[in-house]
Amino acid sequence: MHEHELFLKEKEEIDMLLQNDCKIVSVKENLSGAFVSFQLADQTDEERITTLHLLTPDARIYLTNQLSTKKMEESRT
Amino acid sequence: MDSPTANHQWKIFDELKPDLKPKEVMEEANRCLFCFDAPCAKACPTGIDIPLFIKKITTGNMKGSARVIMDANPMGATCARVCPTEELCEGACVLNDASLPIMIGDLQRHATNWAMKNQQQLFEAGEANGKTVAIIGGGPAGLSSARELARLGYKVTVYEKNEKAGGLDTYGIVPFRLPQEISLWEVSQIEKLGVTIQTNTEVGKDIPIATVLNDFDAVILAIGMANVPPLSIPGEDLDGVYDAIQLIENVKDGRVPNHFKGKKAVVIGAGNTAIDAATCLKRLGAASVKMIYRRSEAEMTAYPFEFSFAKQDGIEFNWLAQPKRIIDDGQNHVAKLECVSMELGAMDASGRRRPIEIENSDFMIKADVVVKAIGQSRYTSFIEALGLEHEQGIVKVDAETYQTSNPKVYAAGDVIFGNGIGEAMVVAAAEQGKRAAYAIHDYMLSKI
Amino acid sequence: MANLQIDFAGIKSKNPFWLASGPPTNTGYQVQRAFEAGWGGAVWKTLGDPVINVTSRFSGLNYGGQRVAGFNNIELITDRPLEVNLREINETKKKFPDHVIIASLMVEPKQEKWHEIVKRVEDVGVDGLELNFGCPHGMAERGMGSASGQVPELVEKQTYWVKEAAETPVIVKLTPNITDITATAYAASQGGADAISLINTINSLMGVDLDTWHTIPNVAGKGTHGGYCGPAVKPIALSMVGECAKQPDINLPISGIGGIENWRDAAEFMLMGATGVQVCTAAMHHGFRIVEDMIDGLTNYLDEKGLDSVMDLVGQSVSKYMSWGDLDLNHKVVALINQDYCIHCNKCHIACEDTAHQCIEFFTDANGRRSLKVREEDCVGCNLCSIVCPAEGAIDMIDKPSDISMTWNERQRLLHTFGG
Ligand SMILES: Cc1cc2nc3c(=O)[nH]c(=O)nc-3n(C[C@H](O)[C@H](O)[C@H](O)COP(=O)(O)OP(=O)(O)OC[C@H]3O[C@@H](n4cnc5c(N)ncnc54)[C@H](O)[C@@H]3O)c2cc1C
Ligand SMILES: Cc1cc2nc3c(=O)[nH]c(=O)nc-3n(C[C@H](O)[C@H](O)[C@H](O)COP(=O)(O)O)c2cc1C
Ligand code: SF4
Repeated sequence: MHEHELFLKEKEEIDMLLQNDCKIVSVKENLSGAFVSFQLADQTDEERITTLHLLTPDARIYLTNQLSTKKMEESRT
Repeated sequence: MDSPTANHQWKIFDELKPDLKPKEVMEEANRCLFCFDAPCAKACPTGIDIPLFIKKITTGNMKGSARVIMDANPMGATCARVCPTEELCEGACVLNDASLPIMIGDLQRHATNWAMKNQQQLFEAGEANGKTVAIIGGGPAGLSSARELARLGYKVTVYEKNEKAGGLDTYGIVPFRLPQEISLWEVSQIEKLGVTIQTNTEVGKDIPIATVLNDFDAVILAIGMANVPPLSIPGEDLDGVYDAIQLIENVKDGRVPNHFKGKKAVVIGAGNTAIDAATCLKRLGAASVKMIYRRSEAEMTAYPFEFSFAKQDGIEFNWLAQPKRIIDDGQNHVAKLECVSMELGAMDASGRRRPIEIENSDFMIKADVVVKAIGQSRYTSFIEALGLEHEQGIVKVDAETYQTSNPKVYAAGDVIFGNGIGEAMVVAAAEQGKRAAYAIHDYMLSKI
Repeated sequence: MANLQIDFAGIKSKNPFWLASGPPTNTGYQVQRAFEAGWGGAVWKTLGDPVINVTSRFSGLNYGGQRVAGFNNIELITDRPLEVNLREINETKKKFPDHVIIASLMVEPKQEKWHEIVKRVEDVGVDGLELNFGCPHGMAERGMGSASGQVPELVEKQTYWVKEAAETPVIVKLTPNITDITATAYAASQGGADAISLINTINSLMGVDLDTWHTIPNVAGKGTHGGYCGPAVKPIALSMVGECAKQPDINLPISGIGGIENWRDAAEFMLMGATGVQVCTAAMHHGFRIVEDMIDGLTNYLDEKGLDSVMDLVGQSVSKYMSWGDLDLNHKVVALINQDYCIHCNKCHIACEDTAHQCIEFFTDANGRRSLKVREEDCVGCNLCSIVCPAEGAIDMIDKPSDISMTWNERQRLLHTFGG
C-alpha cells in the first residue's frame, strides 16, 4: 500500500471518532508512532476508551491540526 | 507581384539558427576558461573583452554582460549572428586544440538578446561639448561612430538615404541569418543617445553636399558600397535579370515576391552576397539554383561555413565558368545563359590564380532567372563631388586617423575597403567607425 | 546607481570586497595591483615571526571537469621579515589612501608579544587589525592559529591583550574547526573585539595518489593535513556566519569569508549578516580582475532591487534562519514534471524510487511516449528529483499552502496538554 492510502485510512479513523463527538484524552508518542486515546461522548467510563495507533507522519500532523482547531474553537466559545 | 507578408510564407525567412537554450548557455559559459590576455579578445576586430562578458553570464549579471559587448561593438547583436567567428574569436579560442572552442557568437547572441528583450538602454550620452559632426550613411560604420561621438558629448546628425538606418544590416544580410529587428534595435540604442538620424535623406540629392561640409565641425563619410556592377555582357537588360542586393533588400523589408516559385535560377558570383542571394532564392521557391563562378572552389570569397550552408540548401555549383551572353526567349525574357569554361593561370594582383578562357568550350545553361552577385560597385561620382582623393572609388584615408584628403572629412567602413586589404565585414566597419570617432575627438581636443 | 560603500566596525571601504589574508596579499606589489583592479581593501598576509615554508603547498579539488571546486594548502604565515612587510604596507597605504589595509597578526599567546606587534603595525598606518586564530596546520602545532582559536578562553584573553594596545578596530578571525563557532565568537566579543571574520580554512586532506600512495599535496613523499577553502566550503561558511549573526549576545559586525567567487556569493553572505566579504581562492584561481564583475554585478543587482546602498542588504535574511523546531510542519511542496521540458533521462525516477519515496511513475502519454509523472499525494517534497534533474525547467517544486501552520515546537506544547 502506498503511504498516502495508509494515511487516508488513518485520517478516516480519526475523523470518524471526532465526528462521533469523541474526545481526545491523551496522546502518547514513542518509537512506534502516536497512540491517541479517544473517549466516547458522554461517557466517563474507563472502559469506553478507544486507542488509535497512528503510523504515518501525515496522520500524526493531521491529528495535531485537528486538536489545535478544536482548541481554538473551544477558546472562542 | 509582391505578396503581403503572410505569416506562413514569412516563416521560411525566420532566423535559421535557434537561440541557445538556458542549459546550453550555462554549460557553455562555464566551460570558458576566463583566460588572461585572451586570444579571442585579440582576434575580435572591435576587441570585445570576451572572457569578461562570458564570466558575467555565469554570474547572472546579464546587463553587465551585454554592456561589455556593446561597449566595444555597437553592432554586437548583429555581429553575434553574422561574424565569421571561425575566422575570428572562435578560431583563436585556446580550447580549439584541447577540446572544442567556446561558442562565443552564440553566447554573445544570448547576452544581447537579453538586453533586447528587457529593453535595456545600455549607454548614456556624454555631457554636450558644443561640437557637431555630420555622418553620411547610417550603416554599421556610420552608426558606430555616431554612438561613440554621442558618448563623448558631440551633437551628431546622421544622413541616411534609405527609409530605415542600419545599412546592409537592415537591408543587405538575409533575414534568416540576421532579422531586421536586430539591426533596428541597435539603431534605436544609438538614437536614444540623442543622435539625430535623418532618414530618406540622400546627401547630394535631398541635401546639398556643401551644406553638410560647411555646417559641421567634422564629417564622417560612411556610405558603404553601391549596387552590383554590370556584367557588361549582352542580354543584361532582359526581364528576369536581377541585382542580388536589391533582391535581398526586398525580402529583408518584408516583401516576399512569389514570381520565383518553380523557376530555374542562376546566380553569378561566389562571394557572400552570391550565397545569400542563392539561399534566398531557394526559400522563395526556386526549383533549382546554380551558382556560376569563373574561378574554382579554392578562390571563392565566401566562407567555408557559408559554402556548406549553401550546399545543404541544395545549391549547385558550376566552377570555372564565365557567362558570355544572356539569351532571351523571344519575349524579352531570360531563357538561357551562355557560358564558357575557364582554367586557372598564373597569380594575379589579388593573389589568386587568374582564370583564362578555354577556347571553344562554350555551353548553355537553361535559366528563367539570372541574379548578378559579382561584388558591389562604388559611389565614385559622389566621392568626386565631395572632392576626396580615391582610387577607383575607394576613398583614401590615413591608416591611423581615417582622415581623408580633406582634413575635415573622415571615412570608415566599406567606402574605404578594398585593394585586398581587410574584409568587408560589419565588425570591421564598426571598429573603423569607432576609430574615426576617437580620431575626431583627439583632433578637436588638440584644437582647444 | 547604488552605493557600494560600507562602514565595517568604523572602517569605511569603497566597496565590500576585500582580499583575505593569504598569498594574494603577500606583498605591496600584489596589494597595489589589487587596488588598481578595484578591490576595496586587503587583509595583509598574516604577520608574525617569519616562518620557513615547504614546497609544494597547494592542491585543488576538480569535480566533473571543473577545476578548483575546492582548494587546500599547507602554507604558513608570511615568510618575510616584519620590517619589509611594514615598509610595503606603509608605501601602499600612501599610494592608496582610500583603500583599506588590515594587518593580520599571529603571535604566541603572550601579552607582551601581542602588544609589541600591535604597536609596530599601527605605527605604519593600517586601518585595522585581524587576529588570525584560524590556520589549522603548522602554526597550530606551535600553539598558535587554530590551536588558540579552538579554546574560547584563549581567544578572549588574547583579544583582550590586543585591545589593551590597539587604537584601530580589532577583528577576530575565527576557525571553523570547532563544534560551535558561536562559542569562540562570543569569547571574542567578551574580549572586546570590534568585529569577527569567518571562516578560516577547514581541516582537510585533499587526496591520496593511487600510483605512489603519497598524500596530496606532498613534500618529498610526505604530507600533512591542510586548510580547505574555495567554492566547496561556501555552505559551511555561510551557515557559520548565519549562526553568529542570529546570536543576540554576539553583537559584532561580521566579515564573511569562505568560497566567495562572485557578487552573488557576496550578496548571500551580506544577506546572512556579513557587512563585508573577503576572498582568497577565487582571486588565486582567476586573478584580481574578478572584482570588476563583483562590483558591476552587485551594483546592477542593487539597482534592479531598487536599493540605494549595499548596506541595505546586511542581515536581511537572518531572521528567516530559524531553529528546525520553528519550521511549519504543515507546509507542503510537491514536485511537478513539465513534460515540455523533460528530456527523459529518468534520473528523477530512479532517485525517487531508490532513495526517496517511490512516487515518480512511468505512464504512456497521448503520443505513446513513455513519460514520467509525480504521484503527488505521496510526494514528501524533498527536492531530490529537482536537484538531480539536468533539464532546466523540467521539474518545478510547487507550493501547496496550508490554512493552518504548526511548528514542531508548537506541536510539542500542544501534545503536552494531552499528556504526550
Ligand atoms: C549580401 C551581403 C551579405 C553580407 N554578409 C555579411 C556577413 O555575413 N558578415 C559580415 O560581417 N558582413 C557581411 N556583409 C558585409 C557588411 O554588410 C558590410 O561590410 C557592412 O555593412 C559595411 O558597413 P558600412 O556602414 O560601411 O556600409 P553599409 O552597410 O553599406 O551602409 C552604408 C549606408 O550609407 C547609406 N548611403 C549611401 N550613400 C548615401 C548618401 N549619399 N547619403 C545618405 N546615405 C547614403 C546607405 O543607404 C547605407 O545605409 C555582407 C554584405 C552583403 C552585401
Ligand atoms: C594558500 C592560502 C594561504 C592562506 N594564508 C592565510 C594566512 O596567512 N592568514 C589567514 O588569516 N588566512 C589565510 N588563509 C585563509 C584565507 O584567508 C581564507 O580565510 C580562506 O581561504 C577561505 O576563503 P576562500 O574560500 O575565499 O579562499 C589562506 C588561504 C590559502 C588558500
Ligand atoms: S604558480 Fe607555478 S610558477 Fe608560480 S610559484 Fe607557484 S608553482 Fe611556481
